[in-house]
Amino acid sequence: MNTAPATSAHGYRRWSGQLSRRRWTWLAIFVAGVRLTNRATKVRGLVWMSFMFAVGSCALFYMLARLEILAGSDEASDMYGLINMFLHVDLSGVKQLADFREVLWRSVFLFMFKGELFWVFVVIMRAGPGLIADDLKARALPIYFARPVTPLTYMMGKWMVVAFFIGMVVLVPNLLALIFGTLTTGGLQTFGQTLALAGDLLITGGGVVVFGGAVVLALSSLSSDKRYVMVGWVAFCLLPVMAQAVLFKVLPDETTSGWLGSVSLYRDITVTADWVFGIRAAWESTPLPREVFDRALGRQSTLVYPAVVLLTFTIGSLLICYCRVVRFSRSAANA
Amino acid sequence: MAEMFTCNGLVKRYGKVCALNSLTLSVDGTVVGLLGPNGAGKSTLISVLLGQTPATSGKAAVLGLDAARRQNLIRRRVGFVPENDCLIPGMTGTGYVCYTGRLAGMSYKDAMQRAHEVLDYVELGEARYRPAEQYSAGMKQRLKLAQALVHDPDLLFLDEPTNGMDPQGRQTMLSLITDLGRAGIRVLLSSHLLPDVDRVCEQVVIMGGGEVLSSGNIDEMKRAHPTLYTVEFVAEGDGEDFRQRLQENNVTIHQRAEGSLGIELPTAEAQCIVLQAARETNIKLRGLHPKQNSLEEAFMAAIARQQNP
Repeated sequence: MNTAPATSAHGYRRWSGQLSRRRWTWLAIFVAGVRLTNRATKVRGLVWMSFMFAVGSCALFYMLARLEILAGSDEASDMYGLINMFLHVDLSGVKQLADFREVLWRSVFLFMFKGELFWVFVVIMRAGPGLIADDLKARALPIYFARPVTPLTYMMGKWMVVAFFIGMVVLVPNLLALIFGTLTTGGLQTFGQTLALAGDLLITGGGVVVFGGAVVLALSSLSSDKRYVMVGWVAFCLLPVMAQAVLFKVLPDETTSGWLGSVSLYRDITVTADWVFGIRAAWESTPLPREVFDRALGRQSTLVYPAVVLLTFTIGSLLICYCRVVRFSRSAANA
Repeated sequence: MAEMFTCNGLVKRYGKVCALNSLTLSVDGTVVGLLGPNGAGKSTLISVLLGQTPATSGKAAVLGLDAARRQNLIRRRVGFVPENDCLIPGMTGTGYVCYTGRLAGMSYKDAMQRAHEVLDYVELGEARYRPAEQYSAGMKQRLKLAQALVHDPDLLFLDEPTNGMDPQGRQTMLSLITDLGRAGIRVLLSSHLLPDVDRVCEQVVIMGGGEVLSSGNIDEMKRAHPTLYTVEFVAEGDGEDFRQRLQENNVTIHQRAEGSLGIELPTAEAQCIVLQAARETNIKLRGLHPKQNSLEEAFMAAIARQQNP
């Protein structure tokens, strides 16, 4: 039996330290949020599995590097087929592949990016819904808003958590693949050729982080039950895609280049990514005949409508989330 | 040292509902009780004092700092124990307290070290690495106290800190509150449990309908009726003569029992009436005690005055 006296018998001891005057509380919310979310095995598994995109990109870079050497030989014929299958470009008649390295790499990243978007959808579905909903359910908001935490700081910390996981799926694998590709294909020369790609990857990845993070935070602030948030997120992502598929099926191409072509958020993001990567202009500026890359370009779309849709949803979501958090902060003592 | 908090014409409306109705008061003291029925405006007052809810009009200050403009400074100096659990699922006791310290602006190292100290202080040292959601109701209350203490505040707002606790846990919590008062931390204790307030507080504020119904020193409140006395006597008969003689001298009899009466004198200085009546009716007096009001009676009287002004 422990016979030691209770520590409180020694009385309360004052603390002589200093509280930071800097507004870094969002960092504490971010770190704690990442730690808690990362404890879920499924989330950890999903993040690790997202590195398959890096592996896929590396494999394609390796194939392209081999093709640069083996162009025109019999050994290359199988690889041409594989490249055609993934990137929708027929390189069988192209001799100096190294001259088109940049545009091919852009195509590789865009191809991977479109796959990563699905993975982002799944990761957000696991990591995002509980961010604010769990605090609402546990009535934990008083511990934030009885401290020098503003609604904006709280939102920023929570958004950073989901941004971290989206970034782990859509940014880190691509940047790793870019480094790998650069190191294995010609070194400095390739680095110079593909440097702009790093910026494009950061812009597209950052866009997805901002958009996805804002939407899931807004949804999470609307309910204290994360299952409803999850259902809302799935409906938000999948219903427009299904509606777009139906529209593309029943309407002629020319009528879907405007608003009707911007129903699917997935398509809006990919059209925007195409624009950021400048893939259409990049292929069209090559001396290659159009039939080589025509299938890679896909359906022509204007950027305006997708950009407006994405911006509207992002700003709207941030506003909804901010208003909700302000409301919570004002009723925290009564929570 | 600045007052614990002051309110000057403080009004808070939620649409048509007036939660705080022109509240003007100045509260000082070490451990102060905040009493009132549900909907009295206690939580709204705490919310305004913490700067969470802007007041509709009027001013409030905590520790001399304007609640509307200096809320960040106030929150650095105030610890808040909410009524609800407010625990973050998945966190251990140490992790939770350390996290709340980080939110208050402590470095990780300081927050972790201090978390261990305050968890020891609230006697959760042995459970510190257990997930907080596995704690008992009493442990959760003490964990909430620990998170409010982690940044060493000058003032604590405690909202129903003994809710759901067993008698032993309640005693521990009340001892901790008393000890905190001795350590120089000022405490505002909002509670429905009058015995708790009676035990640890020296001052009390009674609220109702968004107004202050009564405030002041608890001992003075208990002495609110100087004309009420209890008479103990020994009579050969049933003491009927004695009662009649008292009533003839304008003494109201509230309570009758064998050998004792609860009486109300016509004036505070009229104790001689009782002595004279006893002498005249040949009664042996064993005692004449001024009746001590309980806090509950003071509270009920304040509420009754509000309902029947």
